[in-house]
Amino acid sequence: MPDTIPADALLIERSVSVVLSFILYIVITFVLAWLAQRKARGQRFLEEFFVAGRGIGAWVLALTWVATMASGGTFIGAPALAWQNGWSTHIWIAGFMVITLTGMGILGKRIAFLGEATGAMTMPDLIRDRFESRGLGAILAVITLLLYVAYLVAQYIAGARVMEVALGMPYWAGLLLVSATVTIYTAWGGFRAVAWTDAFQAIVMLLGILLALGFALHKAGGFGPVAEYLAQQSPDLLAPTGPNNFLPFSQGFSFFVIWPLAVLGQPALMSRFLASGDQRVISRATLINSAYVLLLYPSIMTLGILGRYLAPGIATPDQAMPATIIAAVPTWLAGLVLAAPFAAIMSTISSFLLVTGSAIVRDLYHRNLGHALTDRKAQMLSQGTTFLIGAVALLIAFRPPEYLQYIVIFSSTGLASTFIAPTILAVFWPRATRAGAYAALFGGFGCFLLQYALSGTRSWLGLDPFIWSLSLSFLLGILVSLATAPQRKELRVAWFGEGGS
Amino acid sequence: MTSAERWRNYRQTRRDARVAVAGWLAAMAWVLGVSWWLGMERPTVLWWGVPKWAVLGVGLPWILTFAFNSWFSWALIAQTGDATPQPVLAKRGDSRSDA
Repeated sequence: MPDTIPADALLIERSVSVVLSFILYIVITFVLAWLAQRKARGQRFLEEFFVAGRGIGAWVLALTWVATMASGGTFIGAPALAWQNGWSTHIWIAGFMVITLTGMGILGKRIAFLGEATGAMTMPDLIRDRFESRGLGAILAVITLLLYVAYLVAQYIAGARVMEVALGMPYWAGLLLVSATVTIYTAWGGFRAVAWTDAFQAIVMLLGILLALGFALHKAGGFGPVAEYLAQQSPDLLAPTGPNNFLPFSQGFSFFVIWPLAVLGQPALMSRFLASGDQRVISRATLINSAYVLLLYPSIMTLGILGRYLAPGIATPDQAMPATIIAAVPTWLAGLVLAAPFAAIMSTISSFLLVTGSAIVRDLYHRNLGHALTDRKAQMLSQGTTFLIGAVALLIAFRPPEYLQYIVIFSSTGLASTFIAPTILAVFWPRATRAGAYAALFGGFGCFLLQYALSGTRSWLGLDPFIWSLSLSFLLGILVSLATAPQRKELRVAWFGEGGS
Repeated sequence: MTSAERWRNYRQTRRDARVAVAGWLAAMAWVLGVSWWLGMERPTVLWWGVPKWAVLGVGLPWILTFAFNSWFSWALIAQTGDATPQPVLAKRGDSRSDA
């Protein structure tokens, strides 16, 4: 078999080309942010900063959507699981094959339509107006803030891990570099800068992963030697359940529900539809996205599996992706390919910083507390909160937990448990009421927290807590809505048309 | 935009959502059913170094789902008359009302 030397030991010799590639990557990112910021001049600040004046096109929408979705968990945590658990992780990730269909097909067009019609800039905005409830808006904003800070911590950790392996940097220095870079361009350029840099980063991600996969397959001599090696270590690495019963049927089912639905409950993803302003843009973006996802996700998991063969001596599974790249890709190209996970991390951080910033400035300060905002004041507050949230996540990330992917799953499924039912009921069911939305929100979030506290990631019947939380959330939302008086007729007609009355 | 147009748009997006959910459930049934059924074979049968269950249970539905997604997207693009809407809400209950 090829190299069995720990991949991080190989890195130091290659660091010059890797460093140059990273510098080039960061320079391009800042140039794009600068161009976006120039284009934004003279526009109304809040609408420009949080939804780019609703002028995002299909390509940028598709790429920013997928770049936000693909995080450090995707590029660091998921390959780490594949490295540990072999081919079973292809079932674990298989729900992504329908993620564009559910993510854009179910809510995309509807939210774009309602966003343009109502002027909503954030998801709490939309729910607040649908149910005429400031309380609902405030609670959703606070939950977004709490869970996204946890998610941000995971991204910072992932970014620092890439820096550790790619540049031989100490963990703390990697953290500082990642957080400083992304916080500055997010605060500077707002949504348009985030979307443009996301689009660039999405291209880097896909290019990097496809190149890495090609080189890794070449170096391994195809799948045959890898399968032999895995079978020698444990035949379960080739089985659908994986070693140590990693993926029993109940968990396979859970993840096929979690991934396609979790994207529906992500304020950072849904807010992209608010920025498109035209339903035809969503339709075109769906087509672009489905091709992108098909190429990206199976490649990432396969790379993790190849990594077990090519880079077996890593210190922690989270190093599987960068170590495999280093082991397989030629020196002159390693920097570009290593920029792929870095791009995924930066694009997610920037989007989440923006959403948490909007939760504070737009949802809590502006709409709930009712403070007036001049453009100047909005700019100061938005940029200030972006830096503040970045600093809080950075401080927490200095003491990293072991597995990134579990933080990501907790945050994303927690948000989904909270947001999905109230959102779907709000936009698709005229009979949904404010009390029903409260019941769905508290039922979903409370049930999720309770199950995690009592039974961790495997709840009743071995299913993920998300499945039960979501079911309860919908059930309570529907029952309580039916038991309470409908929202006023004018509001229902305004949202649903004549049949909504 | 008239009330009738808003109603038509609502019904259209609801129909789209149902198609998306149907596609999702079909893919889930295929992946879980075929993968576990073929995955019970011991020792694991390999095709070109890849487990057979992964080729037929995961790889093939990825391709089919992409084809379905493409059809779905073209169907959405083909829909007309539901592009950029005009603001519809009154002051109360509108995000612009207290902005």
